[in-house]
This record gives sequence, structure tokens and C-alpha cells, in this order.
Amino acid sequence: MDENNKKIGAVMVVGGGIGGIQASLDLAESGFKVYLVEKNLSIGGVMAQLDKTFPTNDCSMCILSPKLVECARHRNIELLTRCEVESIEGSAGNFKIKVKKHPRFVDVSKCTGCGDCAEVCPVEVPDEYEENLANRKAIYRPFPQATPGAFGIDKSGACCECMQCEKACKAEAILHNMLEQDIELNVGSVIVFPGFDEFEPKLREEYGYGLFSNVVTSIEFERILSASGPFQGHVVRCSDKKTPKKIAWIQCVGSRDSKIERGYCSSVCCMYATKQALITKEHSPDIRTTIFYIDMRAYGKEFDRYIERAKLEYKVRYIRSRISEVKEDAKTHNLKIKYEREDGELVTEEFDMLVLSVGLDVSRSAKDLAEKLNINLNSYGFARVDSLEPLKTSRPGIFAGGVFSGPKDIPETVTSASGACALASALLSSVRGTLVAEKKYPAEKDVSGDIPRIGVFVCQCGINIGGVVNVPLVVEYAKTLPFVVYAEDNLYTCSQDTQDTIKEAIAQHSLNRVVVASCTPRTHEPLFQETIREAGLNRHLFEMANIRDQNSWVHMKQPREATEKAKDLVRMAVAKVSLKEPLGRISLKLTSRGLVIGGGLAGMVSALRLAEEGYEVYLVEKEDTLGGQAKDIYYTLKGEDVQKFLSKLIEKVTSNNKIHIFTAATIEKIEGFVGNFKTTIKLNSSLKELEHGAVIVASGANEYQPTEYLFGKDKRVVTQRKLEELIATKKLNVSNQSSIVMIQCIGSRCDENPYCSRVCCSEAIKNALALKKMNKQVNVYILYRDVRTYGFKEDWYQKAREQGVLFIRYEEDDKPEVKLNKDKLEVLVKDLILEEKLLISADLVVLSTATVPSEDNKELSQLLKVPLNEDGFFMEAHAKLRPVDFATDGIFVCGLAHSPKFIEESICQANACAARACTILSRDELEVEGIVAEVNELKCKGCRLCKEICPYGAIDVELKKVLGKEKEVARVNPALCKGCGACSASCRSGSIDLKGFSDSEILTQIGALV
Amino acid sequence: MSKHLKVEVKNGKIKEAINFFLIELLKKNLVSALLVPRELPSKDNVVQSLVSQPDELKNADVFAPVLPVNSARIISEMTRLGSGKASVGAILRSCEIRALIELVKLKQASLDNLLIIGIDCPGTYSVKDYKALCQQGIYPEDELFKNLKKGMEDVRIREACKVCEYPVPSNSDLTFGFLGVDFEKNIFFQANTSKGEKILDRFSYLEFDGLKIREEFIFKYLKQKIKKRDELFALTQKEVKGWENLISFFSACINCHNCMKVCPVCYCRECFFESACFEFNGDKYLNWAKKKGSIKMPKDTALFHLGRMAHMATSCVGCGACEEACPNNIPLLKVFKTVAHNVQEIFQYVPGKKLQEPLPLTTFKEDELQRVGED
Repeated sequence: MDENNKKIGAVMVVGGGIGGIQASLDLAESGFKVYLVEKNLSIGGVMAQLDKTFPTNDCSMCILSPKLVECARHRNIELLTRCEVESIEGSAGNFKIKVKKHPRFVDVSKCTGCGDCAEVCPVEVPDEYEENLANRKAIYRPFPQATPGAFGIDKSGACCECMQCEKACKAEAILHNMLEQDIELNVGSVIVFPGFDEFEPKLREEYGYGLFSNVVTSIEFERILSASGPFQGHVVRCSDKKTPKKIAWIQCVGSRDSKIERGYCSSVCCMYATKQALITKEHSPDIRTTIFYIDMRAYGKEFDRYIERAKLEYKVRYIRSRISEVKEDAKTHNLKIKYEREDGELVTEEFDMLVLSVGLDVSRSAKDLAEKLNINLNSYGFARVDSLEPLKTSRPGIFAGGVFSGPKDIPETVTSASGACALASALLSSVRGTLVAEKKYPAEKDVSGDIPRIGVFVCQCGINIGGVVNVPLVVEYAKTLPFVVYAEDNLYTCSQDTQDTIKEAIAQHSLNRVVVASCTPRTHEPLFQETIREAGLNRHLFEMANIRDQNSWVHMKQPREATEKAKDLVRMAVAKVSLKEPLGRISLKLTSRGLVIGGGLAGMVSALRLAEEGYEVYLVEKEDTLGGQAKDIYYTLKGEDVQKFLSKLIEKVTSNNKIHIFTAATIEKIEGFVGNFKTTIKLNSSLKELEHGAVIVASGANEYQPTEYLFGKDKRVVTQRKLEELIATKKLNVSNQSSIVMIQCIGSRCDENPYCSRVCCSEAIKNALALKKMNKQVNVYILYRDVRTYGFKEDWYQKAREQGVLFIRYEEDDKPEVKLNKDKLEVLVKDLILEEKLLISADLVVLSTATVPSEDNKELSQLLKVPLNEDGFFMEAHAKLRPVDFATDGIFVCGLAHSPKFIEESICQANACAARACTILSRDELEVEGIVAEVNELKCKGCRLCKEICPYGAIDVELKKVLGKEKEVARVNPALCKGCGACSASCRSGSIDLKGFSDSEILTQIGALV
Repeated sequence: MSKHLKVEVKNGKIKEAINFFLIELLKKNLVSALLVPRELPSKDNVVQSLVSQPDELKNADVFAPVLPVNSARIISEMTRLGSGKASVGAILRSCEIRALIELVKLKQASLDNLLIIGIDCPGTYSVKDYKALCQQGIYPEDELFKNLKKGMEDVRIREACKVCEYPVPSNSDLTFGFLGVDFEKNIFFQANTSKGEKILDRFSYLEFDGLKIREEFIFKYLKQKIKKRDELFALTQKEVKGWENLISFFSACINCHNCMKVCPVCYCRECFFESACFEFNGDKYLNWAKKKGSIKMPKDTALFHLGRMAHMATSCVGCGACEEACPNNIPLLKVFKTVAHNVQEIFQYVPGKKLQEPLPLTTFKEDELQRVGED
């Protein structure tokens, strides 16, 4: 092998939004060196600007910032901010890339992020991060949690070079003469996530954006909603900073609009507008909210439920109408909206604020980047990808995802990021681990027996805490508490520069225990623990006081009481931390083998990918053959041949010697834990035990079997899948007079299955177009509720309309009827525009049936001890940022088992699962947290309550000699123990304690309060 | 497969009839030892004894209506670190057997090599009352049978016994019964297990033919008891309703923890409330006193009872040993029994009813405990 073909164990990730961040973390955790290239000062992307994310309404920054910090501190990730790709040479496995590093004018290694420079900077310019609703200085940090946390100077006309900042900077970090730099990097693969820019609404001038001050874009409105935004989270309009009474959202601004070359649907606007309306209501319940839309595209998991909540619980008004005109009342600056009601009548309604739900344009840098990387784009300028290979660009070794390959929401972006990693990791599996560095920690200080020296760091969280709680008072109070030798307040204790501050304080004041009073340990504890570990303290010499979620947020109107409560919470945390002892981490061996449950398309893709990544895989399928639901799909919307793809995939899977296939096999038992699972399968009535380190659930779903519309009673009533089969196998003849009526939402969006099955609209259009191809004159009717052709699928919807496919909308409570008139099939449907019933005679009635969860899900979920959602599909750990993980480590989910979806989405998820599993299987050993239960054998009476209760099977009772006598005592297997504390709660005598949460620690904490 | 036999009572001397049987058990080597209550030399109380010699059984007094200790504790002591190799017979009342079953579920006792001989129990006197009666020359056992014959209940018997729903033992290998039986002529032996049957096979007693009468009597008898019990529940619920009342109910407590020490289902080696978690320095006490104006000492007494209740409510068999042991005469039984009854009803669990039935704490049902808070 010559030097040029030698594979390189490093990957370049281009784009530091949430997609690029996820890709970097997954690759870095799988043994690759990562260069994360971001053109801006900080990574974070658009997600950093968002207020809250649905459906959990988690604060966007709160869930993002731990990932920012993780990226910044990961030993295998090199952050290259203010960088752009210049050129690329080489081929898959070995690329040479030139990167241009624009000057930041601040030395990142020296800047402490103190902000003294910005304080003195005389220049104010509009702040892009705040969508120009506020100003920033010429020397600035885009947002407080920016990563890296260093400032940068905007010399594109903003900086006046007065050098005030240089004088003010005590760290001597400012370098006004910093020059552009060229960097050359050698990587094996490139992952491209340039993301998106919002549509420029001035292109649709009829909405008055830029002319009328109270017309804002949805991204501006995100900033308005945000507590850290220009108005501190008060919903006010720009003209007079008063709370509006009526806000309207206009959907599809820059989407579904071929006149301005944006024929595609942006996929995310229906849901973000609903979220914004709902959050608006939470801020100010009196504001009336209206959303003007064309089709409500709530196609995703839990989406429809969220819409229903907005309608019923929050009284958000939805009006199905395109807006033809917006006028401003010059006096009040209110906006008059003219729209057509469904009955055809034109109405004018006045609102005090208008939000334009702007669509997603591909990143403005994408075109240039694609040229430099030599990859193909589609007609809209997005990366051209194949439905069956949705993560591959036209150039081998370069993978893409996120909005770059089509409009996507956060979870799908994150999924595609992990998926792209799987492909890169498979490509480079032979050089895995060759360029990574082991993280080196300083030796742990032995603090046993030392008098506690506690440092307390109280977070302002911008105004989240500081706006309510008198933080300086809390700091002063903390200083008076026993063993506290140091206390300070921070604007954001979680920011990168504060981590350094904490480390310095630990060194300077010889702290041996740390308390952070800020938000929730759920999201931020690992970050602070890592920080103190880096400073040489054991991770468990740490305690958090939640003075935000449990205090400032809930006592917003009582600042004095909230301050007192903050003191109480800090006192409790200090009391507890003073008792804390170092806890060791446990290292465990692991089995580097995967188990994939389900031999459908998703299961096979993830098995194949894992095998390519270098791991053995058990593939267990309950049917006799592989293929799953894909066996009934013949072609994609774009026309790709699914059966050909499937048979190739089956061949690859069956011929791969790393994949061990068990068909007609059922799962009987799953024991163990991440890294060390033991699964018993039943094969031809004999049992077989499989050992593996990770599980991928790809158990699929079923097609709804209709009972309605004469299905099963009249042969001319068929399912959409049957129609596809008839078309593909050429068993259907259509004449000029043929009339084919498709009815949508059969078994979806109904009381029984309240969710949308996502694919049916596009599947109907796909087959309608196929029918039209067979005979242009054939009459095809699609009776629908909303046409949910999101993303580029909208093009086919457009095409179907152009080709004369008739779309007739019906309401849920006035469904079409299918009748037999003598032996003729007739469909009766109410035309909502004409307000009268239409009678269509049909040669074929095609039912677009739902995707329903497999009846085996319940049993499997119990075997795996993972949850199902209300609809019966498997429930991921976090809807936004952990879309294919379960909360239980080492178990992942993809394909239809997760929710209804298209083939390309299943493939993305399947790849993502392989990448996520690889982050475990690629390790030499697993480190287990030290928070495990511990038995006091002197006290234990062996009653076994703890053993019975333990959900992880981590406790056994054994005969042991205690104080010279044989007796039965409980024993905890620390590798299995998850630290849930159920045993400790059940033990009446307190003979079993959870380390870090012992009875004495908890009681001391409570004792400090009462 | 139960076997019902009658044992002739000569001259109304029930005790002799039973003791004859017990002596035969040892003599025939059907058990190697017997756990029986024997009369004290002072003749004003009984004490549990493990007897291996037949002639040591002369002063056995199994029907003596007094319960100085719930023998489930004794059997736990004898079997927890492993049962003996030879078989032991234990004469137990219903509350003792039920507590024993709970302890077996908690692995604190074993039924291996144990022959449980249950006896009917219409109630017991407190140790103090028993002694007083004896000293007055009244033989409590006679008093018991006399009242029973009259269809009356002695007002002096313990509250726990007045409201006991289980005067007839269950889960015994053998039962000695006299409720609903013409006990002046004969008493009733029943074998409930094959173990019990094998024992009765070695005796030539006649078939018992009054089973129906017995059952009818017990049915009516239980009805009265349950009525009384429910009245007690209603009164108690009123008495301890609200935080203030609850606290004042336990206000006489001096933290001696006697109730815990005699409780047959309390089994910890070291009670949590006696652990270091409840040790504080002087400043802490002063702080509390300062904060609240005053604090009751010893501290955490109500907490102790509530904690014990939380721990034991599902297994409480209502024997009332706790109340007996209280030096300050806190009427603990009614509160413990009321709470236990309500908790047990939630989980549809009857402690001591069935060995195979899992403890509520060890099972999880998705539909349980859906209701939160007060109605």
C-alpha cells in the first residue's frame, strides 16, 4: 500500500451546529481524531439561538450547552473555529484538506472570557445572535455559553481599532494584528453539516417584513421568547415594546413556493410555530394566538399529540388559509391580515404582531463548500443524496446530513449525524484508535481525613437566577457556612471560562469539596464533576443546589423569599458535601459484539454497518426470512428499486462472516447490562445463549388491517401496498375511464391511533403518479385530511397536481363513505369548498393504512426494561438529542419500532444505531460510576427485600462469615447496580446505603434545613 | 384433605386431655421437642418452654389466656440460622402463626422440621390482668371457658383480642379447637396437612361430627368481632385525624422502643431509629429549640412510630404485643391495626395468610397506588 492510499484515523466534520457536534462526539468516542471546522466564533449553530424545544419544552441552550462543553474538552476533538475549507485532495480514506483560519484577533488560549474588553469597546453594532434585535460590541462573544468561550473582534467594518480593548485586557489576549492562517490537515473522511440559513423574508414582500416593525421572523421570535434574549423573555412587539394581545403566525414563508425557487416544504415550521404559540401562552396566557397554515404537517413522533395539546389546552387557533395581503395601521402599527376563509369568503382581521414562519434555506456557504469538496447538489442547492443511501454524497468518503441533505428537525439532524459517523467509522475501521489520545487526569488528591474546605459557586444563569435571586447575598451567606473557605458568583457557572475559574479556585484555596448552586444536576452535574476531576478532586466531592428550576423559576414573583430559599438550598448542599467521600470508578471488561433484534431493513443495515465497523453481530429475526416490511415495497418516490436494494442487502448481510443470522428465532431472556449482555434465544425449540455488549432494537411494526370501507368484503377495495404490488407486477390495467379513489388516514390520526403514520401521503402520491405514468387519462382521487409531503416530497405533490391527480380534503368527523350501488363501487365525500357531497364511482378504492406498533413490543420492552410511548412504539431517551438511544445504556432503537417512517429515515436511524453502539463496542473497558449501593454486613439480616426489589438484578444474598458467624447477607454487584436507590429505600434497618446518597448524608442535608 | 377427630374431655378437664396428647407426642417420638407455654411456679403467668422430656409437660398450659411473648419471635430465634435437624412441635395462636409466616417470607424464620399446632383463641388477658385474676383466686382459663359457654366476652380481655378476626388458626399442621364445640365433653382435633394427618393416624380418636355447628358458631362469632373491629377503626380514625391529633396520640412516648422490641414482625438487628443517623450534637438541639420555640424531648418519638408503622404496616398481624409492652400505656394497637388494615387493603394482602403470597413491597403492579394525596 503506497503512502497516498494509507487510511487516516481522523475525520473532518464541517459545520459546528448540533449535527456537527453530535458527529464529532460520536466519532471521538469511537476512536477517531476529529477536526471540527466552524466558520463562526463559536460552535452551537442555530440551536443555540432557540428558546425552547418541543415536545418536552426543554430550554434549547440548557440541553445544548453540556454538549458544547463536551466538544471543547474532548481529548479527541480539535475545535477549528473561524475556519473554512479551502480545498481537498485525495480520496476516501486519505484526504488532504486545506483550511483557512480567519483571524479572531483574540488568543483563545489566553482569553478568560471576562468581558472587560467588551465593556470598554465603544462600537456597537447589531447582534446577529440576537437577530439584530439588540446590539453587541465590536469585540464580542456571540453568547455566554459560546464555545470556545474566548471573545473575537469583528473587523468587517465594526472595529475602529481604538485599542481600548487591548488596554483593558489583563490577560494580554488581544492581537489586533493577527493574520489569516492556512492549515493543512490529513483525514480519512469528511462529514459535512453546514446546516441552514433562514429564508430571507424580504423576498416575499407582501408580508411587509422590513417595512412594518411588528412583523418578525420566527427566528427573531425565538430570541424574543428567550429569557436570555433582547427582551429578557417578555413577549413584546418591536414598535412599542408592549405585550401584544393578538399574534398571528403565517406558515410557509419561503416554503412550498416554487415561484421563488423554494418548492420544497421546510418540514419544521408547523411544529415550531405551534411550539412558539404554546410558549407564548405560557409566558402570557392572555395573548391570543392564531396560526395560518396550508396543511398541518405534524407528521412526526408525538407531533399530532402536541398540536392537539396546543388546540385544546392552550386554545391556539388554527386557520387553514393562505394570506394574500398584510397592511399596517400607521397609527397603532397593528397589522391587518386579509385571508380567505374555507367557505371562500374574504375576511380582514387585525393583529398586533405577526410572525413569519420562515423556511429553511440551505446554508449560504453550502454552494461554495460543495464546489470546493466537489460534491453534487440538487436543484435547490442541497446535497444530492439517494433515498437508499441517504448519508452519502456523490464523492466517496464524504458524508452529509442535517439540513444540508434536506430540511430536517433536530432529532433527525442528530440521527443523520450519528448515521454519517457509522459510514466514516466503517470506512476507517482498520485505522480506528491510531490517532487518538488518552485523556490524562492529574492524580486524585487524597483528601481522606482532611477537614473539609468547601468552595461555593453560585450561578446567575444570566437573569434566569440573577433576575430573581439576590445572588451576591447568597454568596456572602455561603461564606459564613461551616467549612466554606471560598464563594463567588458567576454569570454562567457552566461556561467554559468558569470551568477554568473553578479549577483555579480549587488550586488557590486548596478546596477539597465543591458546591455549585445553579440548575439541575440532571444536565449539568457531569460537567462540573469533570471540572473538579481535572483539578485533581474526586468527582464525588461535589454537590449541586438547584436554585433555578426549584427556586427562581417557580418563585419568580417573590425575589426576597427566593433569595432566602436559595440560602437554605446552599446550606443543605454544603452540609451534605462536607460528609462526602471520594468514590472510585469501576472498570469492567466488555464483549465487543452487537445484537440486532429484527432482520428487516433497519436491522440488516445496522448489522451490516456494525460488521463493517469491525464487530461481530448476532442478527435475530422471528420470521423465516429476512426483509421485514420492505418486502412489500417496490419503489421509492424518487423511483429507486427497493426490491433490488433489498436483495443486495440480504446478500451482503448473509455473506458477511461477522454477521451471525438466526431466523425463526425468538428472544426468551435478556440479562446483564451495557457491555455485558446475555441473551437467550429460542431456535427450533432449543435455547441458545448469546453474549454481546450492545443491543439494537429494530423489531419493526405492522400494517394496520382495515375493517372499514368494505375492505375484505369487496375485492376492489385494496390497501395502498396491494396497489403498489399490482402496479409493480403489472397486474393492473387502467383505461382512460378508470377511476381510482385513494382514502388517506385509515387507522391513523383517529381515536385508536392518534398519531400520523407519516408515509401514507407520499405513498399515495407515489402510486398515483405511477398510475398516471401507465395512463395519463386515468382518474385518480386522493381523499386526504392534510397532505403531509414534507421536505422535497412536496415536489411530487406538486407534480401529482400538475398531472391531474385530484386532491379532495375531508374532515375527521365527516369521513368519506364507500358504498355498493348494485355492483358498482361508489365513494361519497363532502367537498368542503362547494359544501356539497360528491359522488365518485370507483373501479378501485385504495386505503392508505396506518403503520401500527408490533404486538410483540410490550413483551420485548419488558425483557429489555425499556419504555414504550403511549402509542406503543419504543420510546427513546430524549426526543431531541438522544433520538436512537434508550435511557438504559447500551440499548438503541431504529426503524419502525421507533415510529412510522420512510426507508431513507430507517436507514439513517439504523446507521445511527451502529455508530452509537460503536461508541461502546470500541472501548477496551467500561468505566462504571461509583454511585452504587453498599451493604453494611454487620447490620444486614438477609431478608432479601433489596434483592426482590432491585430492578437490575444487582443484588444477591450469600452466606458469609460475619464476626465469626456464618450468616446470609446481601451482596451488590457494582457492575449491575445503576444507583437507583430502590434497595436503600426498602431496607428498614438502613443496612444498605447508596454511596453518595447515604442515609446520614441525606439526613444531614435535611437536618440543615429544619 | 383434612381429618377431624374428637378428644374426650374427662370431668371438664380440657387441659388434661391436651397434655395427655402432648406427652404422647414426645413419648411416641413424633416430635423431639415441644414449644409450649408452661405455668410458672408462682401460678400467675406462663412462659414459653422448649420441652424434650415428657414429664416436663405436667405444667404445660396451652390454653392459658395470656400472651407474654408472641412466639413467632422465639421460633425466629430458634431457626434463623438454620433449623434443628429433629422435628419440633410448637403450640401457637393464630397471631403467632401469622407473624411467623411473615417472618418466614422475610427469611427470618424457617418452617423446616416444624410442626405447627394451632389452638383456637377467643382472647387473652394482659399479663397484669392475668396475674391479678390469679391472685384473686380466679383461674383465668376457667373464666374464659365460663364466659364462652355463656356466649359472652370478658370485658377484661385485651383490646387486640376483642377485635381479632382470626380466633381460629390457619396454616397449622394440627388444630386444637374448642370454639363451637361442646368443650365440656370433648374438644376437636383437626389435621390440615399430611404432616398433621400422619400424627393423628397414630392416635385412635373418634371422628368428630360437629363440624357444621362449629362452622356456624365461628361465622357468627367472627361477625361480632368484625363489627367491634370496624367500630374501633372508625373511632381511631377520628381520634388521630390530623397532624395535631396524631402527634398528641404519641406524646407520652419516651423512646424506650419496647414496642419495637416485642413486635413479632420487627426484625432488624439495629433499628434505624437507633442508628447514628439520629445522633446530634448539643448545638443542633439548641438550634431546633430556638427555631421552634420548644421541642419535645426525647425527640423524634412520633417519627419513630410513624417510621415503624411505614415499615411494618403490611406485615402487622394485630397481636397487640406493642401495646402490652408500652410502659406509658399508649394504646398503640388501635392505631397500628387501623393503619395496617387500610394499607393491607390497598395491596389486597393479608399478612400470614399464605406463605407463597409475595410481600407487597416486593411486587410492582402498574395499576397500584394511582391515587395520590387526600380525597
